[in-house]
Amino acid sequence: MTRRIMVMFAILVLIALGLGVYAWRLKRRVARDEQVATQQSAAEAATAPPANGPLAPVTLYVASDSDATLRRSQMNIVLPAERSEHARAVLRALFGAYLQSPSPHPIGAGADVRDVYLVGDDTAVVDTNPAFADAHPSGVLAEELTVASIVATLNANDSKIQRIKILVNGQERETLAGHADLQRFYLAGNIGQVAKDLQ
Amino acid sequence: MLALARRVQRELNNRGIAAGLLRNSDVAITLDQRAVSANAARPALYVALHAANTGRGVHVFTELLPATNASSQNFLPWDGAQAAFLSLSGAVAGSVAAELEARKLPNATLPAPLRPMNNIAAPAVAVEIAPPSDKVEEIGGAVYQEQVAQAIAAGIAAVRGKLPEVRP
Repeated sequence: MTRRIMVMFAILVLIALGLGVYAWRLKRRVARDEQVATQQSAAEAATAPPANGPLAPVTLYVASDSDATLRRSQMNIVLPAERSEHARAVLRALFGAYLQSPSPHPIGAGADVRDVYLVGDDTAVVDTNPAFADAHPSGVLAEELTVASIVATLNANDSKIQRIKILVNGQERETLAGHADLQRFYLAGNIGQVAKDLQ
Repeated sequence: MLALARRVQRELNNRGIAAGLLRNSDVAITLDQRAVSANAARPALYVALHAANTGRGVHVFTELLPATNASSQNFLPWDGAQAAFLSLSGAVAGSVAAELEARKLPNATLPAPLRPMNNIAAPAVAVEIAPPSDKVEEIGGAVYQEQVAQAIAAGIAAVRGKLPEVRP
């Protein structure tokens, strides 16, 4: 074998090795991109309201800071059929009313409802995200208006829900923002009286 | 808020009512510690003072617990200790609101789910002051705070006879 053929052979081996490494890295990148895309679509499916379907009326008890009231109002949204998803969609509509600008009752930017769990027929556990409590304005009245509007809104749209517990990021928290108790179960009957007082 | 608390304390003292402050400086006390200290002092009345920008005027709160027939002499559940005193707490809140009204200060009385008021084994009210008008800076006005302090003290003095005697 001449020296020239040996050099050519070595160059071909190097090219083959380079292509192999390139192909291996390309394969890893495609796999990683696919994984990210899958996670994103799963997250979107978990947080986005159903985009299709008929609109249905829901009742919201919307707090107003300017006159310290809770106003009953109606809104049309796309509602999932499943009860806990239904409750979550209603609360997300309520939070949407508070997160708009100008807001009748500002709550923390990015506040959201992660999940609503139904325990038995009459108990709802509302799991909010950290932004809901971490950035909530502090004050007895401000916090009470938020809690009362959540409880009254849930009960107004599903009268079977009589006991409501509010969690933050899956955990029990002592208070919403220093005042309103988040360790107790709220009774719709008790809050209903407060809602009447605030109207 | 400490300034308002001292004004209320002075107004109560002027009416012959002894009053102590749970904190006399800007130190942080946990909610449970507040309740423990207040209950250990065996007060005739617990008053919590708060300030906020939400709403207008003064809001007087009692605890949002279902009333109970449990005697205040028995052992009380920690989370619902206040339930045995709701009737007296309501009487104090109504009296304070009447004094605020007499001074033409915007006010409202409401039940609220308020920590640590649910843990207090004595009549208890919370008073939250907000600006009297759209001008937020008015909340710190000396005249406004003096009027509120006088109304709180006068309201408490008016129902003093109904409150339990301080136990040694």
